[in-house]
Amino acid sequence: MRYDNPNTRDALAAEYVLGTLRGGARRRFETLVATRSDWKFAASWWSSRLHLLADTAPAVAPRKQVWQSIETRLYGNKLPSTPSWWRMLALGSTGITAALAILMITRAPEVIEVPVKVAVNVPVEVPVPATVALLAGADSKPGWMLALAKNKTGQSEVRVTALASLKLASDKSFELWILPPDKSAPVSLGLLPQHGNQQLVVSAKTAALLQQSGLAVSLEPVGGSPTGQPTGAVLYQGKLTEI
Amino acid sequence: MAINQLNTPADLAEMLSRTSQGDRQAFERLYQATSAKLFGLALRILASRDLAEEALQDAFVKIWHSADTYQTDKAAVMTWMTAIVRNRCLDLLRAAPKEHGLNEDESFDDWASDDLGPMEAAASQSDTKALMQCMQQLAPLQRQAFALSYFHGLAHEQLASQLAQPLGTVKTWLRRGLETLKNCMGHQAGGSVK
Repeated sequence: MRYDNPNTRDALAAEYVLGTLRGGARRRFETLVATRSDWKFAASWWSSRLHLLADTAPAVAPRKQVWQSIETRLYGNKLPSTPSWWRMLALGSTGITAALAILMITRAPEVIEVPVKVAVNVPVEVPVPATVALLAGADSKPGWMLALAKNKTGQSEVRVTALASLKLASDKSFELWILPPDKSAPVSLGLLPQHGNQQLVVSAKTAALLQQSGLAVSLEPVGGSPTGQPTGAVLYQGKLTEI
Repeated sequence: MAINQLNTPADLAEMLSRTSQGDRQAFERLYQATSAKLFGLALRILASRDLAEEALQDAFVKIWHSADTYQTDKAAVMTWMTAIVRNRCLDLLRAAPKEHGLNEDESFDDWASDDLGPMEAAASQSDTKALMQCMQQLAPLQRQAFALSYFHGLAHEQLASQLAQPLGTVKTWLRRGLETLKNCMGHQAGGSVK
């Protein structure tokens, strides 16, 4: 086959996506896509266009049971939801929650100061200019280093590195929350790794909010908060700052 | 119900990225944002509510497990998810016994009509409208051949038999039709759409 002929390549890519390329020809095409970037590009080009045909089918909301079945298949039985600490905090009805509020307010400024020093001294790969944060616990021991940057496709990305000083919790998840400046309910930014690095693509909207907001990490059941709001103790906090 | 217009491709990318970290809330939001559109596709392919529900469940279980294999530079999230749902539907369609009540006679002859208005009306993305305008440049039976292969997974031989045309003719239709679409969409999009 003339693998460098763009017309051959595009014709095969189109029929591959459409599904009319079958048998050995289909397998040969897959091998070429795996090894050659121009073939990979041709397949993506057709994929992003021909799959628009699906969009001509009218949307139909599936029954509620469909989602319930998916959840059961993936997680088994649903975890019972526990009351949200944030809602309790908003009510301000107990001494414990009031103390937590004071902790959050008084701790935050200290945390802001930390990232600058750390980022300068530790050879972490941070793109410049960068916006970084250190998420530290009440004992001032940092759990994660966070950097907000653009990835190579121009999307905003949060890069998180779990630090050696993180106290691991193998049967729990750590969930990161944005605490908006207008004191509205926390917005989840996803789960944090307990080892190594992780990248999280965020929308421009979220990236903008991130830069103005405080950050908090709560301890949650595996898979994250079942309620969409923090349910466990807030163990780490921080705020993004430009370096 | 239309796809939630508040969810931009970047929002979906964020939800999928979080899903790949095991975030169940993000996965649920991704489902809420896309399931109606994808269920519509499953119904179009399988024409059976039970089978379409099964396909949607299987597809979302797969999406959860393979979220970390999604590559942002390769396809938009919706494209990636659509491909997963369509593949699962076509597998079920092939495996379904004939007496399952599937509409074997589904001929997609509405695609041979000159009026593609109903298809365009269902579209939630502006790129789809552009594709449909390009489809207008094709002959009616060419369009029908595309619809039959996309929604029913028909290969060349099955298309020839369904459309009562010689095999060579069908192959030529597809090849030329795809060339027409390539030229039309390449010009429209400036070749930059991901």
